[in-house]
Amino acid sequence: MRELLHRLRLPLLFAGLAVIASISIFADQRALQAGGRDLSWWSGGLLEVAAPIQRVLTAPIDLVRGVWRNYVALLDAREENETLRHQLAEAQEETLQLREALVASQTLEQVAELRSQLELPMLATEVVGQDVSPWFRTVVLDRGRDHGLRAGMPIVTENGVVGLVTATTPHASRAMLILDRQSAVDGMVQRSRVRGIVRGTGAPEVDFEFTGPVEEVKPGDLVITSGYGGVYPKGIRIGEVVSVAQEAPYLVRRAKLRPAVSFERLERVFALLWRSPTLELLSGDTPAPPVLAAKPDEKATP
Amino acid sequence: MRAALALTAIGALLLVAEGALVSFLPALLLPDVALVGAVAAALFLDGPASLVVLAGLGFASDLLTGAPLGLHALSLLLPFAATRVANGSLELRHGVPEAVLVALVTPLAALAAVACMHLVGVRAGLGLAFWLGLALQTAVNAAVAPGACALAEGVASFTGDLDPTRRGVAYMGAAPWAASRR
Repeated sequence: MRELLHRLRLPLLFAGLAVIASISIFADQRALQAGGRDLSWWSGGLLEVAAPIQRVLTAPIDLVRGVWRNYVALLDAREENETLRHQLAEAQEETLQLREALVASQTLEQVAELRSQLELPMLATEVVGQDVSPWFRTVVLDRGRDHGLRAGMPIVTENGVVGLVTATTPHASRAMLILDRQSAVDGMVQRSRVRGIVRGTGAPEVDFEFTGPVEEVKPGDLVITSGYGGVYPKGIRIGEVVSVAQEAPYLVRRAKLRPAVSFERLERVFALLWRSPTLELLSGDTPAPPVLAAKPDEKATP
Repeated sequence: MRAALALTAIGALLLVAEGALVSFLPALLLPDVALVGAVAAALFLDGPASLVVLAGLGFASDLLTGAPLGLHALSLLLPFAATRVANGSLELRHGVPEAVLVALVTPLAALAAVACMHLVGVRAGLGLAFWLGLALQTAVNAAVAPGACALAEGVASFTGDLDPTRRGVAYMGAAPWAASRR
């Protein structure tokens, strides 16, 4: 019997690993559908170790790249300076006019109040690593649970949506980009208010799937978050329509979007310290208030 | 088993390093550490130890790449099995055969990953970009395979865990014509 077990140990271990891996995949997918999860110490240990190592490895290369970029930028700085000066003057004039118009209509206070209501606390975080798999598009962030991050929180830049946090450890987290094949964001065309789903394809461009007349989505249209998906607040830029598939017979139409965020140069991003009520219900945990959860030295920017 | 743990640790560190490098280099130019590591372990360690390496590197890849946890481990089982079977009847522990072997099992692993992803509802197209990317990845993996195998052999020799059922030695001993040559 012992000899038989010894002879069969490799096939048995092989089958055991296959079963464990299969169960793990389905469990992980389920957790992802519920907005992600906080990794335990044993599963998140590697991510914890990875973040500081990747930061150390990235720093010198970033330095060299920064010096090079700044040097090249200086070569035509004078010309660019003139252009920027001109643009600044125009922008200042425009701002002045807008401000005057707002004051004139006595809505400035109301607008300011509304803005403060909509604003969410944010936490700046660095991208310290990316995945090397051709199948998935995720990044490793150097902030985690101890800084107030939770699975399911949106990640943005000043340009638009980046993705959402899918796994956290105390000092690091992993975020899935909207380019990932598993990503789906509820979006709408800003001009025509047509709603649809923005799906990642693994490629630099994403798909926008919508129903309705094809004329309502045109190249150049801006697609923003609709706020319905239960993950992202409304009104954040997702991308610009590049092309629209014209096949008429299909109920669901598809447009290609160029993401508003340049994912190739993703360095500093902001985590919105907010989760929708849907995700709070699905996750079942009760996170500390985000601003309070942030470390005193890691100021959450309102 | 010490060799398995050492190789898993080295592989995990390389995966972390790749995560930093991919900010500056295209991902396809970086080798699939989990696959190459699993193949190298299957060639130079005994069955259970090489499965430990496969599981360790597979789950580490999943954690670092955002893949569903277990996907890499599951998809690596196919190339692992192919390597063990091939190693049972061919002498593969040399530079060129190792590179050829890795070149052959890289598409296997990729197709297994696609199949696993479809099982959990993740779309993965098999268009031209996929095949071009796979060709590039295959070449990169094959190029680093001899180095990875040498590392695995070195670690296994150092810890005394080198698989004793080395095909070439066993064959020479067992072959009917071997006695006449001796």
